[in-house]
Formats: sequence, structure tokens, C-alpha cells
Amino acid sequence: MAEYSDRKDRTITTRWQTTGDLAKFILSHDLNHLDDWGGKEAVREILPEHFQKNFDMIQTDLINCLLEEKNKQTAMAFADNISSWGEWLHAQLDEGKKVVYHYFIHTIEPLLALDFAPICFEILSGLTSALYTDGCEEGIDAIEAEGYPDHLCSSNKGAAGYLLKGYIPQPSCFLKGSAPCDTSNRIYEWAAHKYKVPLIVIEAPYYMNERAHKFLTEEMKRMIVKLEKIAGKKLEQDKLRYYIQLSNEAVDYVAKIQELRKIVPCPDTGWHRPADTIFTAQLGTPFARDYFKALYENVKERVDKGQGVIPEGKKEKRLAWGYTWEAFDLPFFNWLENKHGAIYTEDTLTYFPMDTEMIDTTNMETMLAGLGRRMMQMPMARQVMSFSDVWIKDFVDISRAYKVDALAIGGHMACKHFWALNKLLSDKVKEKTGVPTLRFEMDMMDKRFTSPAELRRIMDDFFATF
Amino acid sequence: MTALEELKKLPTRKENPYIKEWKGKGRSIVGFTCHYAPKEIFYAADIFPYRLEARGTRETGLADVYYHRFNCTYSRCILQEGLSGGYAFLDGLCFLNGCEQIRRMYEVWKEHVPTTDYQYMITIPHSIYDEGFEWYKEEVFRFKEDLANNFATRLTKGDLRAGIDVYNESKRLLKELYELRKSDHPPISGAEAMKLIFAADIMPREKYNTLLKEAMKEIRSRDGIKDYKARIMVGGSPLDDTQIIEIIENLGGIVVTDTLCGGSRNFQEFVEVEKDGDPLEAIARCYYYSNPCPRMLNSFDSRCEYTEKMAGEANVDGIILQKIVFCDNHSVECTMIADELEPKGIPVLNLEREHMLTDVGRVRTRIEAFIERISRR
Repeated sequence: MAEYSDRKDRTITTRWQTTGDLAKFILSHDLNHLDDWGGKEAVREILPEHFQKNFDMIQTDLINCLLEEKNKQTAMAFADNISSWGEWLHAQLDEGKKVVYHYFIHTIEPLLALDFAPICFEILSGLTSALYTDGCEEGIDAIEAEGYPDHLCSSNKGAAGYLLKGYIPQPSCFLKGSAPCDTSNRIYEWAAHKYKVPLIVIEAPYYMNERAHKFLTEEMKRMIVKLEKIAGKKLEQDKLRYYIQLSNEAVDYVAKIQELRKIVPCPDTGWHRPADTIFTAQLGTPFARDYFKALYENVKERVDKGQGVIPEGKKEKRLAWGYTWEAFDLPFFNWLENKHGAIYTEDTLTYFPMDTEMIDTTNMETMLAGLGRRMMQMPMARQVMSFSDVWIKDFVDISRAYKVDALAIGGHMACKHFWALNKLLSDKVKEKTGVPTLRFEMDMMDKRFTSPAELRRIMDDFFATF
Repeated sequence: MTALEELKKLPTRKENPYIKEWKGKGRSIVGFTCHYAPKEIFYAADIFPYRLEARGTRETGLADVYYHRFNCTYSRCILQEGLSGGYAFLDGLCFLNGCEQIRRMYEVWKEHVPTTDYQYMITIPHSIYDEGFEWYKEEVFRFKEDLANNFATRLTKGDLRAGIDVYNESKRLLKELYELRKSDHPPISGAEAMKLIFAADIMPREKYNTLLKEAMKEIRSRDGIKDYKARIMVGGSPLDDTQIIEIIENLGGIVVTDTLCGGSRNFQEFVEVEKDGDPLEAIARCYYYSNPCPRMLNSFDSRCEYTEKMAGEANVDGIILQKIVFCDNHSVECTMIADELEPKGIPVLNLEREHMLTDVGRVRTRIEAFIERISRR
């Protein structure tokens, strides 16, 4: 049995680690639905005691979704990741490594190479909301109780609340790209001020040209100087190369999966797509590489067999997600497949542009230039940091390349930049490709805003128009 | 009409006589959206820079087609004015990536406000450091070139120096005005002063300087205001209307200073050019390094110090930080500032509002209660 920390400042990450182990335990049994063994209560009774409390917290629908045959292989990869990442993180903390909280659109190879313990701030809220019935609401409520407004991003609010509650480790510094949004910038400023630690900012230029790339490469160098000071050591070229190679491998799998998703019928399941964003924030670790490798093998296997992921007899409807999804309801995408035959092609939060390059690991200069380039190509960063044209072009390209039938544009309440663009995006995609769009409101990590039931009603109504 | 009355009553947009007069001489007007727009360059190119405002805008029906209820009403009201033809007089528009909501208006405006022929985006980094300055400086240089090319002007160093002189003169006069407001018996109310400040960005600046100089004589000759309960400083989201200040003053407060981007932050630093210096670089330096907006990271301490300094100098009894709903930058900033200053004994009211102040009753009650808390009498 794994050792689980009882430290308060590891509350969240220990919870994830336990859930990962618990999921692996359940998935290793011959079970396709909790009802097969008499329902959640009955299953709880036969679980080892150290899993029971954690099991109570997990969303029942999620467990059943993961147990579905078509999802089991990717569910195991998901469980493996959060279990092994949690174990690794705690080992880093035990060794006294300094915690750097970073924004989710950064790749973290330099942090790993400098022996930091990197934790993605937004994922603290995202993964918690994805796994547990109560989501990250305790964190959200904690920061709002301090007087901070409800219209800030729940991905930042949840994590900020966890800091206030002492559920996550104390930071050594925060690392933030200046794009994409005011809400995240402000919360990072608040957190760095509150905890009296440095806030390292990587300025993300507004353009997608060579001038911007050159500037961003220099920003990488400046970031490293600041990180080295905090780490008390110099960045070693070979160490950085090692982590970038892992990151390249993961991105290569992502690119291959993206290619395969263009096939009709779509060979990939939708439930894990919000989780893909979570694990993109781990690029540079073996955990991300292993996760995306497992996804690729799962998708490739279906392609080889000519299989899709929707029930037999249903007509496949190919959806693209023009922006976000609700992280708090992973089974939603499984429900879309099973009820409406609606599969998931691409979205803003996992999509790497079709011309994504691998980072050249020849020397320090090429690696830093590559990291700069990747920061411009990271999902969401590229669309949000620049003019609306980039976002619109991505979804015109996606709609064509993936033979998309409809574009669902779920808008995260806090993303003001998005709400100032969503109509233009909808109009332009429709004008250029003829693809109809659905626009609706939600909060990605707070189900109290638009509930899972309401989301399903929205989709039922939309598909009734097909 | 006296100069003071003229400045106080200067109408916006369609009824503004200076717009007609300027255009009548075949000259151009270019709008701008943010404090970081280098206005001296417009002026040097013989272009009248007009700060986009939405004073008096009461509905957002057209804007709501493209923007959403989660966008702040300041941005929606400005877009509404654009879509409804309120800015048809503009020959061009200079956007900045000051905040998420305004910067995204660039594309909507381009697509749906066809009357504006020329659009430009100047981008400014989100923190203050030398390499960031180099980026912004290049942006300003590129803007100058683009403006000159599009409006067929030469824009010499001499032109730029002339622009700097005119704007520095405004700053000097406005500093004087704010000095007068610091006295125990200010000769001008907050609402009146704010109207004078608004006028600066919606009329030709040379004319403004002339009128303001004249108005200052009248202001100096007045008896000071003695009958107030509390001296108040206003800060927070951009303000282009005096309605909230009038509410404060009708309830017995007097607004004696501010930390607004269109207010005191606009004239604290002069553009200083060395004898052989580059005026363009001096302009960029002044905008970039002085008085950071809350969108700037790693500069909260300096904004907090500035707030405390302004409050102290004007001997205020309390600060009202008004934040427009869905304005992320100011919403967080206002709360952080309140958290810092309240423990130091400086009372702060954090007040959420809409750009078009419709829920006046709620706002009045909050302000009334605050004034009661800090009242001198």
C-alpha cells in the first residue's frame, strides 16, 4: 500500500494520489458499472478502508464513466498519472525542493531542470473539480469570502482559496505568462503579494511573428536568470535537454492523436479531453509522456480496427469545442457520445496548431528559442494572447480538416476576452465554413453556475435542431 | 460664457463644437482607448486625439450583439457609441491592449464600425522593466511612422517637441488645479474639477490650455467650500461621468483628489527631453514608467504607495474605490488596496457599480453610510 501523507498542506495532492490508486484498484476488477456490484454503497463496503473516504468524495457518474469498456484503457492512464505524479511530488517536497506555482500554459522543463517542485496553479482547481462531487468549491468560497469578486476565474479562485486554507504547500515563487487574461494576472499578483514571494512574469507579446518570438526567447533567458537565483544553482544544458526530450515525445503523441481524430468515425473518446489540458501542464515530465502515449495507443488501436466510439446505429456528429468545457463533468462528453452520437474533435484548450514544431535540443540557445516558440503555440495561449484572427483561423482550419458538423462555443464566465470575441468567432466560422455554432455560458470549475443537468438540456435542445 | 463654464459644459461627441471646427479645417481626429496612448504624437501630427468615452450612454443593445453581459458596461457603452454612429467623426482609432475587454474591441470595431478608416494597436508589456520599455518604445516608434504615413504628415522632432510642450503645459495647469483642491476650503467641487479634467481629452489641447488658464483665475478668486462633512478621494475603474461624484457631494462629501487613470495619474510626470535627446523616446519613457495601471504586474506596491501619498497630501477622511462590475483589474486591485490601507487607519469604501449608474439608490445608501462613518461633523 502506498504511503499517504497526512500533512494539511498536502490535502489536495494527497487526495488526488489516493484517487489515482483507488481508480487503478477499481479498474483492475471486472466491473463495468457500480450497479454491477450493487451500487456505490455496496462497492464502498468491499473497498480497503484507506480508500473509503476518498471513494465517498468522487463523483459517482465519473466512476461509471471510467468503468465503461471503451473508456477503461484511457481511464487507467489517467489514474496512473495522478497517482504517480502525486507520489513524485510528495517525494520532491520531502527532499525539500522549492515549490513554484505556474500558470497552465507554460511548459515546465526549466523548472524541472532546476530541481523545483512545479505545481500548476489552475490544475489544483481543475482536477479537483473534475474528480469530486464538491469540486473545488471550498477554495472558491474561501477567496470570495475575502472580498474578491465572483467574476474572477474559478481556476484561480479555487487554488487561491486552497492557499488561504493551507491545503497546498507554501510557494517559493509564482511564474506567470502575462497572457492571456487580467483575472489570472491579478490573482497571481495577489498571491505573490500575500505570501511575500517573487512573481516572475514572462511577457507574452501580442503578435505571432518573428519579432514576438525573438522577444519571447529573450524572456525565457531572463526567466531562467531569476529562477536560478531562487534555486541557488545554474541551469544545466543536459538536464534541460532531458526534460525537453520528454516534452517533445509527449507533444509528438498529441500531434499524432490530433491527426487520427480527423478520421471518420472518430477513434477517440471525449471524456478525457479536459484531463488532456491538465496533463499538458505536465509537459516535460515522464507522467505526461506516458499519459499521451497511452492515449495514442488507444486511439491507434481503434483506427486499426476501423472502430469509432459512439454506439452502433447512431450517426456520428462531429463537434469542435470553440473554447472551454466544464471541467466538473467529465462524463458529459461520454453522455454526448452515447446519447447523441456526438464526438469531440478539437478545442482551444488542448489543440496544438498543425505546424507545431519539436524543440531543437542541439544547445541551450536552440532549446530556449524552442521554448519561446512553444509558449506561442501552447493551447489557449496562442489564441488568446493575440488578435482574434488567430483564434478564428484555428477554428476555420479545424472545422475543415476535421469535417466538423457543429461548433460548440462554451464560454467560461470569467473569460471577458472571450465574451468580447465569441460572436465574431461564431459569425466568421459560419461564414467561411457553413458550420453552425452553439454559444452558451458556464463556469468551468463551478457547477453552481451552470449545472450538469442544465448543460445536458442545452445540448438536447441543440441536437433537436439537427 | 466664462472659460470655466465653457469647460464644464463642453458636450461630448456630436454636439462638441470643437470637433466640427477641427474637421471643418480638413484636419483629422483619431480616437484612443487608454492612458498609455502617446497623445503628444497625435498632436505633433496635427491630429486631435479624442479619448473614447461613453458619457450619457444609457443602453447597450447594439453592443450586446457582439459583447456579452460578462463584459463590463464601460466597454459595452463605448462599443455602443461606435456601433450607433456616435464616433462617426473619427478618422482613425488607436487601441491599446490595456485590458482584455477594450483590446478585443479592435476586431469588432474593424468589422462593424466601417466609418473608422484607420485602426492601430499599440501593445504594452504587463510589467515595468527595461526590456519591456524597449518593446513599448518600438511600438511607439512604429505607431509614429504609421500615423505619419496614413495621415501624410512629416512629424519632425520639432513637431514632437511642440506636442510635448503643449501636453506638459496641461499637466502643469492640472497640477495647479489639484493643489487648490488640497486646501482646507477647496475653491472647486470634485464634480466641477472632474469636468475640467474630462474636457482635456475631448478638445484640442492648445485651446484647452488657454481656457484652463483662464478658468484657473476664476477658480482662484472664489470663496472656498467650507460646508462639507468629509474629504474624499476617488479611485478605481475609469470614470468618464461625474454622476458618482455628484452623489458623494450631494451627501455632504467633497472629492478633493483621485487616483484615476483619466485623472491624477494622467499628469503626475512631465515628458522631459534632454537638449539633444530623442523626443519620441522621452514620450515613450514617460508613459511606460510613470503611474502604473493595475494591469501592470509586480507594481502593486507602487500603486498602493501612490494612493496613500495622494490621500495624505489631500488630507482625505476616506477613499471611495469604485469598480465597474466585471472589471477584473480594478476589482482585485480595489480589494487589495483596501486590505492594505484600512489597517493603517485610512477608511476605504469598495463600491461596485455599472458604467451607466442605474441603481442609484443602492450606491447612495452605501456612500451615505460611508460618509457617516468618516464624517468630520
